[in-house]
This record gives sequence, structure tokens and C-alpha cells, in this order.
Amino acid sequence: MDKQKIGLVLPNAPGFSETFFNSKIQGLQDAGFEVMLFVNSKGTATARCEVVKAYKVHSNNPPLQFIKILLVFFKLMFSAPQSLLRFIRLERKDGISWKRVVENVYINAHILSFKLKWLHFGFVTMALRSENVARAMGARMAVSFRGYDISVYPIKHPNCYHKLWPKVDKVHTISDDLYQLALRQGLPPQVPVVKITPAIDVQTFSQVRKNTPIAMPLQILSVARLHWKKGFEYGLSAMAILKQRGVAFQYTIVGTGMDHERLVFAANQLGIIDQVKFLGRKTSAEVAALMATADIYLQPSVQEGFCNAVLEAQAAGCICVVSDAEGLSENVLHSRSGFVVPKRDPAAIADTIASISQKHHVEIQHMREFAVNRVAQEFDIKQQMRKFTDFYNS
Amino acid sequence: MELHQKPTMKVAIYSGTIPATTFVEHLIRGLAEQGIEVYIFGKVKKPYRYESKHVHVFPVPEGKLALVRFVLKSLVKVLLTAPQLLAVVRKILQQGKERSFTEKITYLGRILPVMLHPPDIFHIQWVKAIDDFMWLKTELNKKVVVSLRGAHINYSPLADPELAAKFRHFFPDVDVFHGVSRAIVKEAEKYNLDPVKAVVINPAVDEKLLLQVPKTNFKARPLQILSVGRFHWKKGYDIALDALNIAKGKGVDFIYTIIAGGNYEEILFQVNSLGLQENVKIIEGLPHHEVLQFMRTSDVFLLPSVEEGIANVVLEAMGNGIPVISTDCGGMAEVLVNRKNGLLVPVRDPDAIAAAVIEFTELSDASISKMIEEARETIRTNHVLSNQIASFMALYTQVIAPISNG
Repeated sequence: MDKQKIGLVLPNAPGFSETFFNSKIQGLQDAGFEVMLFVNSKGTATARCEVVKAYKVHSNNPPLQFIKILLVFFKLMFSAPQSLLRFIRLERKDGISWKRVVENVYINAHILSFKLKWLHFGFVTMALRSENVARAMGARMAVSFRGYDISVYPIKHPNCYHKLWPKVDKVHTISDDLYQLALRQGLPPQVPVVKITPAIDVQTFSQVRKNTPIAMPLQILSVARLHWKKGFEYGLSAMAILKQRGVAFQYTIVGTGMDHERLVFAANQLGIIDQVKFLGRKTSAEVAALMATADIYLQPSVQEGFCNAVLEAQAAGCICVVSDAEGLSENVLHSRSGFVVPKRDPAAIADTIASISQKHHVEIQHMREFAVNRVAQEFDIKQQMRKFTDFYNS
Repeated sequence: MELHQKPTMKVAIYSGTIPATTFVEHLIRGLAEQGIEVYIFGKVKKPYRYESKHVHVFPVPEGKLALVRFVLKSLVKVLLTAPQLLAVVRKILQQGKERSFTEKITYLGRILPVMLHPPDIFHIQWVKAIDDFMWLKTELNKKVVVSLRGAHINYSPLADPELAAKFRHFFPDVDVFHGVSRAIVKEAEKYNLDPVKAVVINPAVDEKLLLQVPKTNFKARPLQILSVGRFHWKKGYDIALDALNIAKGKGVDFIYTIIAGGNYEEILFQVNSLGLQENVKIIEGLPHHEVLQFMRTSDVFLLPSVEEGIANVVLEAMGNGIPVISTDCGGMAEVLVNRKNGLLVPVRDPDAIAAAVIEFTELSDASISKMIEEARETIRTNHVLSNQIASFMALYTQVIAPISNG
């Protein structure tokens, strides 16, 4: 018998450092599945499985687009006539105009010619305009809830998933919070759901057993894209409050992104630029080394699916201070494995950090050990691989 | 020697795009009315029309092929009319060795029209482009005037050390700097700006605004709060929303309208996550005259910015008779005196904005009217367009003076 095939639909092939997808693919392959990736751009990544790229859309060149549509239809008529016909029929049944159906065939053509057991959209947004693809090819359809797709995108596009929900066979969510949000957006409660949180390779981050007392100046670390979702301005305002109160600290921010100017300016205007370092991009080994020496890890996000960096920081023995944005309060258990504060609240961040510096070493050590053990038990990558195998088997 | 009654002055106003911002367009038209020959170089972004025959537009074509053709034609013209400039072209291209072919062509497209029509004064509105045009000064001994713009001075060089180095290198060669506020001149001193060379010319609004009879009732329920300005982090809309969320918690009933363009995913997300959907309205892409009309239906104008030169929209609100709450970012404190002609609060302080909104709701109509009259007086005295043009005329005359004196 043929191996069972799973197709993952992603914006681009996962880069080397994207543990989540790479380990998921590896785990499924080890469990005997054949895995394929469907992407919009291959990027520079070296995937460990077959990668199929979507046909390029030539919106600036109508004649070329027309010719390519003809070619793609011709190809599909020979390679997967039944899937093509079924897809067109399903789309028309949904009341989609002929023009739009032709477009949708074109943008899904790279998927339609395969035979799969599961077609899994890695972000719900990836399934828009592909709602009928799985059914047309006789596959089951899964979608993942990952954060932005459920908590931000639908605000600007209300009801965007209404056509999608009835066609989903199974949902993967990375946090309970996101699943609740999706229910509020019309996901039928009878659709089976499995929560599989992100996971990390605990080994990489817990090599150094941290047991030194917290000393001044406090070493505070954040690792994230410089993007509004990460709430860095609130974090920086909190640092300004700490400085005002005379708490000595050094705040290190790792990451690049469109908000670089915004944050450097904020640190200057808040008068804390001498206490804040922007390190830019770092490799995961370098991040692990920084986490090994940091006292406190801060995640001030206003929107966050779950956050791998916070898992890594806990494994590295950092005391984590995180906002309560979506999955973060499931990631860190308040006052047990770290501290959860209300989002958009610099004073709460500052109070919490100041109180950590006052805590007795025994208490700190207790929290560190609890966090390290909990991450090792509940968030290790091997366990996540098993859960994904079950996801497709049951 | 030509037999002109008085030698006409040729001034190029460069901002890279045609048409430019409102401020620059006002300047162009105002100068042309005074008989100055105004040269405009750059890419055409929208259709434009200048009534005056004193405005000369030299557009750069769009599209790679058209651009290459344009560059070749211009090179030939330079060869025929001013061959000595080819050495300058060569020198400039050698300096920029790391540029790709496309970048070089784009660059030549930008500078060749200036070589073919060299002005007496080259006025750079886009400071980041300063290195593209300093050859006018060093090779042709023309005068270079630089306007200091908010973002280019206040934050871009903080995050970009190369830009900071470029400013430090070129600023000493500039003849005169124009700043919209004393604050921005001070900030530019970090980059080798010699304060002796700086002239502050107040930004201004059309004095016709002052002819309107100001409204007298500011106690609408819900309170109508207005902000105007594109969606950009420097506008501080995130801070405004946090502030109004605090005010709401303290019982203020309000509608906050933001008239703006651009991507507002961040703001939309925040409105939803704070539960302010019923309190916040976003209006996209309203033409300027309608913005001014809309203003008059508002009770109070809010400027929550973290960075500005001087916000023109605040001047418009003041002239229009709308009370203003503003942060004291950039040069705003040079316009607003707290509790005299508006309410001024510290930057990045949601509590302070919330307190100011509450304070406003507690003011009597009489004291609001007094505040508005003070604000209109500020505009009348310091910020009307006709004075602004006169100031620029004086600035140019002063720059050019050594030449005409021989």
C-alpha cells in the first residue's frame, strides 16, 4: 500500500530555525507519513520533503496571465480531471462567479493535481479561496489556528471564514484562547479540535543549570520581531518607570523588523537609550547563550498565539514576565512558572520586575525549577511530534 | 548681460515628488506669485497644474526603458551645453561605486535635469537626499538651502548611523537651514548644524480660516473628539486610545474620530481589544476642504503624536476655532501655552491625555471661547501664509546677496 500523504499549505517553506514546522514534518515522516509542502514562495529554506510552489500570478500582464491560465487548465484536464470538475462544481454551488472560479482554479492548481489523505492549512488565512480544494481532491481538510489569523485578520475582514467553517474536518489550535475566539467567529462547536501547543527542543536551552542569585543591574531580555503586536513600546515605558524608581537594569532586545525606528526613537525619548541594547538578528545558539545569562525575560505582547521564545526562556531558567495576550497566560502559569500581567500596562510590568529583584533567592530558585520541569514535561518537541501523528491517525 | 529690470531669481524646490506636500505646494505657488522662477524636479505621482508661468516643471519619466532613454538624451544635452559637467557626473558615479546599474540610472535621472537647468538656489525639502545634490554647491558654487523635516531629523538618524554620518558630513556645506521650529534646529545641532546658519520660519495656514465665526458650544454629548493625520506610529494613535480608554473608565462619554489614510490594522486591533468599537470612528481619505468642514463639527482636537516638526493640522484647528489638546512633542510648545491657547500634555502619557480631556469637559463655555480667541490670535500673529512667503523671500534674498553684489 502507498504511504499516506499529508499536504501542508504554508506561505513559504520553513526556514532552518523554524522548529515548529521542521519538527512536525520530521515527526510525521518518522511515523510513516509522506509529507508535501504547498507554498507561495520557496525562499531560501532547504526543506526535508517535496515542495510545490503555487503558479505565479501576473496581475500586471493580462495576456501572459491568460496564456498561463489556459496552460494550467489544460494540464489539470489531463492530470486530475475529476478533481478539477469537482472543484468547479463545488465553487459554483457556493455561488462564486465564473471569473472568480477560474482565478481560484489557477491559484489552487498546484495542489489539485495530487492525491492526499489530508490537506492541512498552516494558518487559517491560507485556506481563504481554497475552501473547496480538499473536498475536490477527496482529501480531509485541517486548519491551524496560530494567532494573527484568528485574532487580528477577522477584525478587518468580518465573516471572512463563514464559507470555510462548514468544510473543515478538523481543527488544530495552539491555545485554548484562540479556539474560544474562533467559536465566537462562528466555528461550529461540533468540528473536532485538538490543542497542540508549540514545543521546543528543551535540551538546547537547559544546558546551563541556572542557580545564581539575581544581582543588580537586572539583566532583562526580549526576543521578538520588532512589530506592534509585540508591545515593545509598553515594555520600554515600563523600563522608564523602573529607571525613575532607581532600579538598575540592562534591557536587551533581540530581533529585527519594521518598528526598529519607532523603538529606537522611543528608547531615546524615554531617556533610557543607555540602558537598552538593540542587538538585531541573532542565531538560535546566540539566543540560547543570551537566555543563559539573563535574569528576567520580558514578553510585553498585545497579541500572541503562544510564543516559543517564552518557552525557551523558561527552559533556560529565566524568570518570565509576560502579558496576558491570548496564549501567553497558558504558556506561563502566573506566580508559579513566571508572572502574567495585564497587557498594555507598563506600570504593572515595572511593579512585577521591581518585586522580582526583591524576592528571596530560594523563592526565585523554586520558580525556576518549576518552570524548567514544566516545560520539559509538557512542551518538549518529542511529545509534540507524537500528538501530530495522532492528529492525522484518529 | 541681459537687459532685465531686475535679475530674476531661480529657485528649485526639491522634494522628489510632484506634487509635493501641502506646505511645499503653498510655497511653490506663493513664490511664483512673487515673480520668482520656481523649478520643480522629481517624479510625477499625481496630476498637477500650476497656473503661473513662473513655475517650471521638469519631470523624470516612470518606467525603466523611458528612464534609460531620458538619461541618454540628457547626457547628450549636457555634453553639448555644459561639457564641463560630465566630469562631475563621472566623479559622482565613481563615488557611488556600490550602486547597481538600475540605481545609477535612477540617480542620473534625478540629477541630470538639475544639471541642464541649474537654479541659483537649490532648496532641499527631503533632507535624506542631501548627498545627491551637494555637487551644486561644491562644483557649481550654487546655493543650497535645506529644510529640516520632522522624521528626517528627529528619529531616522537615531536608528540609522549611516544617515547620521551623512548629515554630519554634508551639513557644514549647506548655506542656510530652514527649521519649522526652534526644537528641530536644536535637534539638528547633533549633526553638525551651525545654529548661525539656521532660520526658523513658522509653518502657516491660510488666513481665510480666521474669517470664520468660531462656534460657541463645545459640550456635545457624547463629546466629539477629532484627530487628523495619516496612520503612522509617530502620530501616537495607540497612546490616544489607551488615554480615551482611561477617560471612558472615568465616565467620559465620547466619540473619537480619526481622519487618516494608510494601514491601520494596529489601531483597529486595539480598538477591538479595548472594546471601544462604539466610541471610535475611522474616516479614510477625506479631501482637505472637507476635513476643515468636519473639524467645525468637533468639540476638541487631539494631537497625541510622539514626534512632529510643528503639526499644521493643529494650526488649522486653532485658526478654525476648535480647542486643541496636544502633546508637547517637537515644536508644539512653541505654538501652544498650556491653559492659555490650548491644553498641552507630556508625550507618551495616556493618563495626562485622559486628565486633559476630563479637564476640558469641566471648563465653562466662556473659558473655552477665551482659549479659542487666544489660539486664533496666535495664528493671526505668527502663522499666516502671507507672512510665511515673505519670510522665505527674505531668506532667499539673503542667501543670494553675496552673488548679486558681485
